[in-house]
Amino acid sequence: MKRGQEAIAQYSELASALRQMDADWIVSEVEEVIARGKTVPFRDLSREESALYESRLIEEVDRGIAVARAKPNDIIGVPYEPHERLALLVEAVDRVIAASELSRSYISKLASEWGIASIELESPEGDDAAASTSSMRSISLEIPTLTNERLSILRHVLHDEVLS
Amino acid sequence: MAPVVSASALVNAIRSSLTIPIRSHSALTSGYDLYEVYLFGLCIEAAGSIGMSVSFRDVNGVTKDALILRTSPSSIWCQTQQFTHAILSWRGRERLEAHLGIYVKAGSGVSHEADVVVIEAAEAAKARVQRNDPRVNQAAVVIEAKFYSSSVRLRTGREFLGLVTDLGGGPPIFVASSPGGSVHRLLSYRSKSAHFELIPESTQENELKSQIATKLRDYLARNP
Repeated sequence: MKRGQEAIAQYSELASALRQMDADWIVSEVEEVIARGKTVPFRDLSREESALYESRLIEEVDRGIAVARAKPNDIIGVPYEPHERLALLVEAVDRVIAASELSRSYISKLASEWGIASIELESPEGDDAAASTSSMRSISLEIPTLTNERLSILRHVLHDEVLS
Repeated sequence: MAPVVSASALVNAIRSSLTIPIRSHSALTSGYDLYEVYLFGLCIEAAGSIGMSVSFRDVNGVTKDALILRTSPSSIWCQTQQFTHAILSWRGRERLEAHLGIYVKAGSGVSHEADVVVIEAAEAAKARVQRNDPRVNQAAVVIEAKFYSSSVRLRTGREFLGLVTDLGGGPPIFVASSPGGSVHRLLSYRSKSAHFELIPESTQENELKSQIATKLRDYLARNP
């Protein structure tokens, strides 16, 4: 698994690839999760995080605020490690592509089963305040081929080459 | 040291796996729209699974096999475009209608957007005649759909709880393509119906389909 600087560089390449495909929204959503950080029990803090905790505790105590030492099960907020950030981005890309491609495949099969000739998606317009524009687009009802195979190849790239 | 895969190689790998773009929610044929159509499809499948028959009509009652579906909410009675809905019949009688993206009226009298709604056919017909939004307490199923790449944000969970409070009569089902994180805990603590990481072919898909089928059966039992 890529760690440290390698993971940071790989994250940057994957984020750049997504931006080139106008999929910045995936990067934004992941970065919102990263910004929030994660939580771990006090007993599981890494040595570095324990040291940071101690320094924060001393700082508050020195300011005259009586802060009790955390108990082993207390939950502590910590930032994601670089390899965890990369894993979050990889999972997000995988999820979006799988959900979109499998939804398309599902809709094609549903159409065939229920005798649906075509499906157009259209933005409402006109007669209510919330809807003011209209644009129409078709969902191709041709059953896509090798969906699972295509997803499997992408997963190999994401998990075996990007993450590892 | 493992080699870093370049952005250009990743663009090629991702593009070759796609039949549709992964652009922003508002872009052409986005995953977001497909996801809502997929959930609409699950309602139709669930109806079929309990023996209801399904046909499709536009706002004027004309039977259609070429569907026009909304990408954002509008009124059920909207006449400027011929949006399609599904008619769910039971023993030869039209009982329910499945709609994608309409407004429904809550107990407070305020109308809210609903991503997928299965509503009593008589209530839907009355709403079209009166050019008003149907009452949510006449709905058998209401689904709030969220297509996200990463964990559902807490504010989304809070908004959903607010929506549930106002909708009262027909508590909606929260469905997300991504993990729930703290929102899962929040909704579970509040005993709200929610499905996370629900995508086609996932285990959660069958759970949702069964839940919808149960709600449709319950509706038919209550309204023989």
